[in-house]
Amino acid sequence: MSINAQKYLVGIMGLILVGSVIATGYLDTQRRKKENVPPSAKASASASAAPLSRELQRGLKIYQELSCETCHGPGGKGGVHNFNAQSGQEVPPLNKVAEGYTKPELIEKIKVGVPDEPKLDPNGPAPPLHMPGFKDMLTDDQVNDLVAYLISLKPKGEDSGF
Amino acid sequence: MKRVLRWIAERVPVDQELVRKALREPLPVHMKNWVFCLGGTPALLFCILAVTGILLTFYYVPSPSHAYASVSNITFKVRMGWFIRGIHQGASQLMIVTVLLHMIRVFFTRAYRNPRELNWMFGVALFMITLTFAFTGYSLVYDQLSYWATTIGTNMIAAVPVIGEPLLYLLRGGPDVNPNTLSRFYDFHIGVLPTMMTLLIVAHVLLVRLHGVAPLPSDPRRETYPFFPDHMLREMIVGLVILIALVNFVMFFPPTVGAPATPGNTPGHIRPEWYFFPTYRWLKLTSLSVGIWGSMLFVAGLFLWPFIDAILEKIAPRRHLWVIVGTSCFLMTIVFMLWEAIVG
Amino acid sequence: MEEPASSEVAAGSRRDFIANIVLGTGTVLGVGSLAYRFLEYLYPVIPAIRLVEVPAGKPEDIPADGVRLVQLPAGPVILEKADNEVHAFSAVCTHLGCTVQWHPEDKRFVCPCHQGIYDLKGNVVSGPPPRPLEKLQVTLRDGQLFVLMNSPKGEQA
Repeated sequence: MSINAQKYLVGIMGLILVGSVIATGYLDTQRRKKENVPPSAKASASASAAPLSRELQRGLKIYQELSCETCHGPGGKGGVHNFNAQSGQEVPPLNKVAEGYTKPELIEKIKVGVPDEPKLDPNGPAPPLHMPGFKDMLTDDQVNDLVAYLISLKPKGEDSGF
Repeated sequence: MKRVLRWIAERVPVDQELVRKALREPLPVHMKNWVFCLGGTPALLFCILAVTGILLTFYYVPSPSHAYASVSNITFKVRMGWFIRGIHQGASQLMIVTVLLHMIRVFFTRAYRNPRELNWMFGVALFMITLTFAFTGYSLVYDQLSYWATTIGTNMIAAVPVIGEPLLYLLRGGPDVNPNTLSRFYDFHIGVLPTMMTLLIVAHVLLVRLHGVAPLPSDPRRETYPFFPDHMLREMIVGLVILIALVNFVMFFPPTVGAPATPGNTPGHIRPEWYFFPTYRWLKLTSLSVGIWGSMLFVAGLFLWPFIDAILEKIAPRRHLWVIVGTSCFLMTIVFMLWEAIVG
Repeated sequence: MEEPASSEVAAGSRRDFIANIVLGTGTVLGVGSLAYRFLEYLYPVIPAIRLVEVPAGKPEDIPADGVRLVQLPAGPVILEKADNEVHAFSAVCTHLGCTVQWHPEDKRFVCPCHQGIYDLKGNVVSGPPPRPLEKLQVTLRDGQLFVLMNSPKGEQA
């Protein structure tokens, strides 16, 4: 193949590349509009397709309306920064509380809160966020519903998604 | 254009004659065969991986509580995130394939012989680094497959005699997989390994340039053609083919994420990535220590092949023992890979 | 040796020139389009701002001198009792975003970063702040205060 022919080939292939790259843009808008999350990755109940029981629905409502979601994340996934907090400098996630806490312990934690968030570096500043106590904002029934919802956040056993 | 070049030449005082000579370097005509472009291809892919990798670090968070969520974020919410991640994954798989093909080409054209043995060893080291890149990279997704593949893979290292256990602690940052482990794998993947690879690539290419291209025994032609513009154009064509293929591949097969990592819960069906199938199959066939020793001997043989080949030449000249060794190793690898892929 | 006709030479170099142009354009456009996508990727997706009602304690929690500064998950808020009514302001200084502090001795809010000073109504008394503190809507339900605020903007995508 002559040199000039090769140059033309490179030029044309460059244009083919441009075409392919433009096509990726259309795919991008499509994908992000669908808000795709594969079913095997949905470990929490907060956006799942399976209908929640009445109790869990009430719990979810409390979780969202009382702004638990704002600090602990949707579905208790966590991810909110809390500088110098001992819990990994973040607000702890809640989707595994079923494993680490008994029901009475959870009820107590929600009612009393954690007024003094333990510091990671004792000489550093107090963490900006702390768990408020909700005993004056929720009835006992509401706390029970909320605890039931939190326990339901534990991901069930799943396959490797292979 | 000429004025621009002159402007640069005045400020970067390199001997123009030298530059012209380097650009016009004559290459033997056997290089016109596309099989000889397999060396430049992994280098291009490495550049693509470095760029997309850096882009991924803008959104990836290397902490066990955030890694999965950040990967999901990239794959489903970030603008063109699926594209960048898909290119990164696709390029990494393609790089392993092209490095292997390049190794096979060099093997069967016997380009590793004296005085190029050191370069062969650099090449094998590059191959090992490529595999380590793939292993550490995959562990960062922190889905079930990542987590368990990391646990199993690092446990295997403990079985290496003498240095195994201290090496395991070094890799994991502790006796068990813990938050330090992810940090370490991340640092290997974005810091240590890229540095090693860049240095080795430079050394590898430098040695090829300094030695000159190895003569092809089966091709007696003496004609040459210049590197610039002839060979460079060929390389650009190959590069564009790769880019077009990658972009379109990612559009038809975009990346996904599996279920998030659950430390207490190993999924029923767990396997490493396809490029580890041969080793995996071999380890399943033998006891742990035979398996590990066998693998280590194989890797050692790979490293020292030019010297082994030289000995074989002396023992049985003109018997082409290298063809037998090469073909049987290659076939064994393919058989193991297919066996694991199909039967599992 | 025969000299090639000058028209042939001209045609030859013109062919080369066009080939070079095609090469250059194709390469630049191809790589450029990829680079554009990479830059697009870097530009963050801004999440829609939602208004949320954030619980902010009880009116009785506001002390006698009338001011309480709370750290709500959606941001720092000043709660004030005046004429039996509760008012809420954002405690974010309108100058460059630091959180203001309450100085009870002077009955002023002072921003520690550039000494912006606000009075009890959130108006700027002195210093660089360009606007008064943002007033927030407060409602009282079942003895519990709720402040209407924008959701935190730091969420991922």
